Amino acid sequence: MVGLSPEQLVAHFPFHVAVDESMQVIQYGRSLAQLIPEIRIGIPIAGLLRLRRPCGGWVAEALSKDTELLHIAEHEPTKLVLRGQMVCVAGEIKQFIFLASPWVDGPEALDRLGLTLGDFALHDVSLDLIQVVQSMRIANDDLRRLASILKGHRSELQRVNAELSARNEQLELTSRDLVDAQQIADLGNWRYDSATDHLETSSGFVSIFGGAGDHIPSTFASWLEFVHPADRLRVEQMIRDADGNAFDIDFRIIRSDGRRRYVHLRCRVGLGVAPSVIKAGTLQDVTVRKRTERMLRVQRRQIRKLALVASKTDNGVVITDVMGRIEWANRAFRRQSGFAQRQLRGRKPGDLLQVPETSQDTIKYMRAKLAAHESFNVELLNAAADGRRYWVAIDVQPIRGPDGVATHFISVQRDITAMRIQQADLERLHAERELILELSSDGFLAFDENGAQVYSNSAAAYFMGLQPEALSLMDEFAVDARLASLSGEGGVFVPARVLADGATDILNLIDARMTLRRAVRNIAGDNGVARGRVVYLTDITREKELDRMRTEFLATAAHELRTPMSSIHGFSELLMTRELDAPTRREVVEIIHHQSNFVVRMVNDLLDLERLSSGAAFGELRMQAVGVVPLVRRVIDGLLIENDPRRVQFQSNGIEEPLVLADPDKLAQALINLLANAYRYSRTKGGAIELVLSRRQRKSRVEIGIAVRDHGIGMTVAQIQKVFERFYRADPSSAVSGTGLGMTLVKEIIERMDGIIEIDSAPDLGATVTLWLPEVLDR
Amino acid sequence: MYGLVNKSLQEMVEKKFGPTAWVSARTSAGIGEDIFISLDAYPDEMTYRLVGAVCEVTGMDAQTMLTDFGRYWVLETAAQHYGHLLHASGRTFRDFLLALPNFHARVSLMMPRLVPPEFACEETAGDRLVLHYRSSRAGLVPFVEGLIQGLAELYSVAAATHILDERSDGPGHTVFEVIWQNRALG
Repeated sequence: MVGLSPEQLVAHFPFHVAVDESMQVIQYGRSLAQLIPEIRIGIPIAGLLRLRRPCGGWVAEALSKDTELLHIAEHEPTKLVLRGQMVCVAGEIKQFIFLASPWVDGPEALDRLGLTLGDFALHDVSLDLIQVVQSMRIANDDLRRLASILKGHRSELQRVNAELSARNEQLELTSRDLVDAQQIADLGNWRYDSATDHLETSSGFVSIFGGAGDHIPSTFASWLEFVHPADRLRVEQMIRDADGNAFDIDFRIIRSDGRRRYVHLRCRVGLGVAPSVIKAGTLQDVTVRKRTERMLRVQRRQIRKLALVASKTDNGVVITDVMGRIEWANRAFRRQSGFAQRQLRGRKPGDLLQVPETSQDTIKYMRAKLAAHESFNVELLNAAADGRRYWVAIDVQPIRGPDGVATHFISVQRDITAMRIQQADLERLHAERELILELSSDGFLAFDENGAQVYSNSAAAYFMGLQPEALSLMDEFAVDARLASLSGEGGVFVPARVLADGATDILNLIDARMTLRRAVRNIAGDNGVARGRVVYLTDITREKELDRMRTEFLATAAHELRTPMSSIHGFSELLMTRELDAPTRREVVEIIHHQSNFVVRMVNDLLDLERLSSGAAFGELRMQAVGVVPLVRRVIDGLLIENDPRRVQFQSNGIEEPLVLADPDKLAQALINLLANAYRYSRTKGGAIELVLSRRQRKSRVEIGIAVRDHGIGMTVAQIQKVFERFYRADPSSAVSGTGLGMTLVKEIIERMDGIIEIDSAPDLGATVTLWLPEVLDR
Repeated sequence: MYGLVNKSLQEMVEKKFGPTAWVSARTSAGIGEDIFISLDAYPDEMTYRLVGAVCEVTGMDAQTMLTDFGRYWVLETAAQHYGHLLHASGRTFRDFLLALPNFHARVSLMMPRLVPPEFACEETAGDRLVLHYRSSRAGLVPFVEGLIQGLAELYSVAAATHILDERSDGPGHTVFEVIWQNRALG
């Protein structure tokens, strides 16, 4: 029988508690006292620990029965859980021993409970459990660490994968670019193994030879067949003899389609596995480059020639880059501008030469053309270095490279300053001539060799009854047709275009009552062929009328003078040839005297009239404010009419001291003529001779009327209409003397003095002739 | 030797000398593994090679390095991985040393493929004891000394060890005398 002393029990079961049948504590372990400090011998166990399982509670009968069950008790204040086995010790006094251990689910529970490993019995597996838990935690830590490392690795792998994908993609793009670049550059690559005589070529290489798959040369010899025969030996030697040194060679090939191309072959020699020697390189189609080089050589030669020409020419020549900056200027340009080569180089011509007066429109146009790399011609005002203005005609041409892109501009500049000045003079002359022609009262029309109108002036339009604008639209045919229609059907009209050079004719424009003199002159051309013609129209209507009047006047004057002259001639001859008695002789002499007086008066009247008509007398008029009343009285007082006792009766009608604007002498002469007529034509009938003043307002002026009234034979309306004609006499018989020029002279005088003459008369009722002259109001 | 030892050695070298030093040492030792599983058994020879390579790379002598490693083991590795258990191993420095034999006995149960050292204590006075260290692995005495120094730091005591005896009655039997004195607080 093995038994444990109470001391051994306490030492080896440090968490046990023993109770008696009354469920009072009778013994407990050393470590339990640490956990439940209030435990004491003799206190009821139920007050310390609540038995959670089995459910029988701290009851002796139940405890006795449930010894095979795991017992779990809880110290509620600390939440300490004890688990273990209930041992029932039968004896005089039944005892129950709860062999417990604290439930610890991890190392931190030891810390929480304040226990150390020494507080446990060595046989207690709780410590092993804790160590297992701790080991599991370490293993978990490892797992987490590994997972983290794996995660890192996975991320790194993903990153590397992504980078690889990107690089692959880039590689593919680069490969494609390389193929594209080779195609664009007409480039191919090749690789030749001398041991196996195998030639590998890229698609670009094959393309240069114009070959499809079946035309790819795969041996050196077959490839050489494509090389131009003239170059073949050279190429073969170069490639065969190639040792370690790289080389380049240009030669010609004949493609499979027969076209010849220039190629550039580049070769590098590398070591293969013996006995192979690997030769590899590129092949590029350089035909375009070769052609371009040839073109450039030609261009350079041309440019050298141009430069030579430019240096010799009198025109300024400037070469600029594509930005317009001067690279070179010839001597003539430097002379024109006054700038040295070093001052010009790198500068834009406009920055140096243009001035505010330079046409901004032209500059804008030039800039647009330069930007578009197009040629252009302009005329431009420049300023030289010394400020002198000069005009140049500029011809700018782009210089293009082989690719058609402009690389330079060449500008040829001709000094046109003198020409500009001449042109301005010409324009001024032209304007002056045009103004003169426009102001001329003669009509001018100019036509070119095709009959198109070049010029017509306003006078020509007036003659033809047209507006100037309407006439300007008419050609020579239309003008001729217009003049023909104006000339009427009765006359003979010859079109100007059929008139000979220098011909003139007369056109009578019936409706317009106008007579024109037409002169035609051809415009001489260089080779004698007319370049057109000018038609010159002069209005000769008044000239014709004057001519008619002069003819009529001469006829009338001759007729009027013949009668008295015949009388003088006859009676004077009678005196010379006959012996007459004294009374008869006296009578004959009186007749001769009377007739000669008549002739003298007529000649005087004619001379006066001629002076007034020609205008010469007008300059002699002494216009002034004339007192009418004194002048009238002086005339009346001086009037001496033979064999007529009547006196002129003057009536001022209350008009006191009127003043008129007139030449006093001429006005007096007019009044004498009027009064003389009044006496003559009323001598037989008698009656008063009256001189009456009156005043009237006409339009914007006040006029003084001086009326001479008689009561003689009077005039009919027809006679009144003719009374102012020269040599007209109301009574043509010899009963009334007179030259027939008096009224003509009166009318001429009064109208010259801006006056008006009015006649009021009827047969046998006498006549009243009134002279109306402007009154001078501003005294 | 279980992986936790190698891992702890790696951490110490990386912490003191930088990751490059560890990679250099590992490469120098010809060790391919760069991850050690804490509770897996690794050949002792691997740990020895690593220790030798670390000495070579860092220029430390083996004894100093092993002593430092012992201290690091207690103060860093055990504190990190055994935390509460470390503190529950004894209320005092003395208790801890006295619990060492049973602690390693339990470890041998849990990790049968490992051959943990065996400790035994003889109490000679309240502030000293004799510690018997038995191990089939040679050369780890400085490591044990470092462990004891680390524990003394953990329990804030000033401790000294000296070898009383190195016996040849087993695979390796070293007898230490451990003397300590509680430090004044502060």
